[in-house]
Formats: sequence, structure tokens, C-alpha cells
Amino acid sequence: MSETEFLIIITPSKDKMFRIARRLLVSAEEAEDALQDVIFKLWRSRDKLTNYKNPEAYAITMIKNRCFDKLKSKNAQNLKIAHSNYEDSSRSLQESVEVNDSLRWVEFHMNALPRNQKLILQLRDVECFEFSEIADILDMNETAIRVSLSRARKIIREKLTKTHNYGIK
Amino acid sequence: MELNKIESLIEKYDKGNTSLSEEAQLRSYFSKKSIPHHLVPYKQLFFYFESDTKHSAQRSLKVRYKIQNKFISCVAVAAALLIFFMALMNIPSKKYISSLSNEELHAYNETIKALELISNKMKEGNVALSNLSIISSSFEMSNLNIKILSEFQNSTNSIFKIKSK
Repeated sequence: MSETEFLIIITPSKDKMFRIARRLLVSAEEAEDALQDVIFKLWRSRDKLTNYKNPEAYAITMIKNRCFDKLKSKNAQNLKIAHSNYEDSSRSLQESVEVNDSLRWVEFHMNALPRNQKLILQLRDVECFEFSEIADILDMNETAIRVSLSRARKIIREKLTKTHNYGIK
Repeated sequence: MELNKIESLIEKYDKGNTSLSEEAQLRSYFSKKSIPHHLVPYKQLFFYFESDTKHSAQRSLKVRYKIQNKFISCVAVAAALLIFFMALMNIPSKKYISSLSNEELHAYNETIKALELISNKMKEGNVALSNLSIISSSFEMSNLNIKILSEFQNSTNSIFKIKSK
């Protein structure tokens, strides 16, 4: 496998990997670092890559583990003070302030979730993975995943309803 | 889509039982502008999920960075070793000289003589140069004296000026 071939193969997955890293880690920079680390590892084991049933799930497992390692290490602990530079430059100017505000609220509530719920919600509702794939990635059974997914969705929706009705009820 | 169908889908969604295609239906429903008031939080949620998919890694990815570095350092070490050994080989040993034929030995001796001659001439030239350096140092001395003289002249000039006034 040549370098360009490899890069083409991972291109569709790399943004998913980046978003997952970004969800788990503190800053976008850290997420980029983690992504680059995992890409190195994947390149080194590129010959084995085709043996996997689902290479994308494998890659996402790798980035998940990398992020968990990073969170465990002291480096990440030090960075925690300067929390999240989640600037979203891709939104168009026409969108109203209200919309931006609601996005920020959802993000805030989502990041406040426990790590696993956050990850499951990201994998299912943002990246649209099948339950079987999520089960592979997280090494959990599907029922457990459904349960924590349901819990995460309910928590966020309740919090959003509260914010939405603030001042009305 | 009818509202009650959406409501039942949402109920399923909250329980974590919707399939991907059902979630896609919900997504397309909530992308519409007018949503009943009690469903607005869902609209926010789905809108957020949609907007999050637009994030992408900005840095260009490298694949060979570490591997290439290793390769370069290996080559550098190999080249250094090679040069070192070649230098060792090129130093003529005494054995090598003794194995020369008479003619070659003669030529070798002649070359050494010629080189010695050149070095002697160079030494003579060096002596002549040392004379020159003596001259230059005396020039510097005289330069200093001239400076002193000019200082003296300055002061006398100023004295005369004061007197003439």
C-alpha cells in the first residue's frame, strides 16, 4: 500500500476520528495531536489493516484508547484549566444569535455527560454508527449501549427543556 | 409527516430503540422551520448533531515523518563510518613504502626533496617578512609621535589665538 493510497483510504474516517477525539479531549489542538499519533500507528500496521472485519471501527477504537490514555496522563490534567476553545467557524453568518446560543447549550450539556455516555451519543447521533459497530468499538454489549444512549438522550433533552422554558414556566 | 407518528418515533428515540433510518426521518423532520413548541429541544439537539459533523481536522496528516527521520540518521551513520574507514585505508603505511620498486622509491624521494626545498624557501621568505613587520611597527611608533606633535600644535594655536585677541 502506498502512502497516497493509505491517505485516501483513511480520509473518510479521519474526520470522524477527529470529532471523537475532540469530544473526549480538552482542545482541538490536542485532538489533532491524538489523530496524528493514531495515523502513525495505523500506517505502521497498514498490512494488517485489511484483515480486520471493519477497519474503521478498529481505527475509532484506537483513537478512543489514545484519548483515554491522554486523559489519564498528567499532561492533560494540566491543560484542564483552560477549557475548550470550541470555536465553530463553519457556521454561516445568517444564523441568528439564538441558534448559536442553543448550539452552545447543547454542547455544554453534552460535554457534561459521563465519558461513556458522551462517546456513545457521539458515535450514534453524530457519526451514525450501527449498534453492532458501537458494540465493537467500545467492547460492550448492545443492550448496555442502548440503555446508556437512552439515558444520555433523556438527560440532555430534560436540560434543554429546562433552559428552553426558562422564564416562561 | 404526521405529528403523532413523529411523537411515537421520538418516544422510541428516547428509549434508544430507533434504527438509523428512523433517526434519519426525525432528522429531516426537525430540519424544517416550524416545529411545535414542546418539540423545540429536539430540534436544537438534532441541529447540534448536524452542525457537529461539519468539524474536520485542519492539519494535514503526515505518515512518514518518524520513519523518514530514522532512515536519514541510519544513512548518516553509515556514511560517517564509510568516510572514516576510507581515511584509514588511505594513510600509507611503512610496509607500503617498502614494497615500492626502486624507480618509484626514487621518485618518492625526489618529491620529498622538492617539497623540502619549497619549505626552506618559504622559511627564508618568512625571515624577510619579519623585517617588514619591524618596519611596520616603527611606522606605528612614528604615527603616535605625529599625533602627539599635532596635539602640541593644537594647544599652541589656541594659546596664540587667545593672545592675539
